[in-house]
Amino acid sequence: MVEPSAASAEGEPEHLLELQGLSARYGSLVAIREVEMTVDAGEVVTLLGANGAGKSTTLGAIVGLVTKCGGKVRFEGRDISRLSTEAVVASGITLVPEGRRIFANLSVEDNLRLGGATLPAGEYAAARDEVVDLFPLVGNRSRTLAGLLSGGEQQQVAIARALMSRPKLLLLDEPSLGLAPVIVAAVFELIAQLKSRGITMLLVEQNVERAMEIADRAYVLSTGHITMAGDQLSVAEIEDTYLGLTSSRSGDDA
Amino acid sequence: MREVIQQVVNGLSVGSIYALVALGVAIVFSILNLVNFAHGEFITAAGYTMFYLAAGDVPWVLIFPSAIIAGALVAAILERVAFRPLRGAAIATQLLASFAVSFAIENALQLSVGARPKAIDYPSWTQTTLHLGSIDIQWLDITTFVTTMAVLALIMWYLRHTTTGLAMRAAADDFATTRLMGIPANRVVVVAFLISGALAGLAAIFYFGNSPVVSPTSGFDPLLKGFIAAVIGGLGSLPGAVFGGFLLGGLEVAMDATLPAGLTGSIDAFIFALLIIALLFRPSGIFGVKTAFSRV
Repeated sequence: MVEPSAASAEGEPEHLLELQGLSARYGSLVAIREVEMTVDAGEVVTLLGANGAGKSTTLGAIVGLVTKCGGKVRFEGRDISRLSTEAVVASGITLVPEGRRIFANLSVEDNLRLGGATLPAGEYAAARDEVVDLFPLVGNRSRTLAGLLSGGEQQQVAIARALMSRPKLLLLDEPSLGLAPVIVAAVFELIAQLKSRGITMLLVEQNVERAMEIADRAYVLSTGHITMAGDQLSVAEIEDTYLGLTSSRSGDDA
Repeated sequence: MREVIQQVVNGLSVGSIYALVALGVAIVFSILNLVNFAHGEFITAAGYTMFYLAAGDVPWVLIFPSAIIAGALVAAILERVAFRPLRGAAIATQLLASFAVSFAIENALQLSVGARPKAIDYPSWTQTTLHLGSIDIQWLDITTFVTTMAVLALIMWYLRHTTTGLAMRAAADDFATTRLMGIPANRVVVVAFLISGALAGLAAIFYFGNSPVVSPTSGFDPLLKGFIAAVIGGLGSLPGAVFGGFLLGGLEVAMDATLPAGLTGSIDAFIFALLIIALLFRPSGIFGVKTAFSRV
């Protein structure tokens, strides 16, 4: 399935993730149109946009939860557009969904077990140790029902659960949504920590300032289209785009 | 006192059957939001399996597991051919499909094996009694209760300690997010149907033990009782389904023992009246809706 066009001269894929003209729809409503985007190994890329711009739809389309109606999703050079959600996760992409979506009626430990469900039996303990090292909370409160934790703690469980599968690419969908400002700061510190450990992330956020502090590159979505992209975008011009004050541009090296 | 103990044993035995059926209904509902009215056909299938194998002089040690396998197999086949293509469709569509499947199977049985009831030649030990002083307890009742308890413990263990069991509990909470864990949705659903069908097969063994006659519509009565039990407990709640089963069985036996002779034929009417009154006060059932596996 690997097409030569997606690979460098050495035969290695040029990008870890590449969206090629990706379109997706809900029923008859096309939510994103011809989205072009790349994420390279070790990078943190942020996808910004106002409410309803199509950010979560893009992530949903990548992992196969939203119906694609055009274009391709390439991961490590392989076309994964037609894979089921389960197969996408098994290939190395994990999504931390919007609103955390932890299993509230299960313990923190059981949430982790499910996160590591695709791991070979021998790797589970090591993956858990790594995750507990990053998030001591999930070790200390392992027997607590996840639904009893605070919003910030639940976000930690959601990210820890996603990391249990040792993903090559972590998709984060609005991790700061619905959290108090002080908790938002803590969540972004955690994301910075993940970045320092070399975890590749595609971060969807509405909090432009926070996202731009942490991201290497940014894309801006407006009504389903990529309208800006680059590594030198200013918060002001991105926010102007939200309001429709700036015309589209693709700048810098993106 | 003797009478009371015997009625309690009866209640536990009848309640066990309802609990097994209700649990099977609730497992599928908790994951798919599907009230599977074809569940009664799993019971019927197990009944016919026992009838034909017993008529062929197959040893009962093989017939009982065959009945359970038949229930599970029919459930898995229906999931594949009838319910999987409709997954994600409106709840009403799936509900209608389950009715359609139920009627189709009933009619297919009437055409193939005939509408006349067939007597299952149960082994004689099921009719023997254990004498404890002045108390006589049927071995079938003891077996029903003890087996049900053992199976419930086994299911609880499975749901708590295996990955697929955990995934089923998770899917009852949030199906889409369970798939994001890399767990195949089909595996979770098929296992739910297999367990549901196996529970129906087990319930059939005990149900037909008390009334050893199978016909194409045999599964309807236990299904109805199991469904009521599941609603009483809170549709979607597994502990609720088990509790509802025992409560319903206990109520039936208590009414049978205490109502004047002329009214015992109307026990079902009293049960339904009680159900309506109970639901007026607790519309979500005793354990509430969507607590699902929370306390297994």
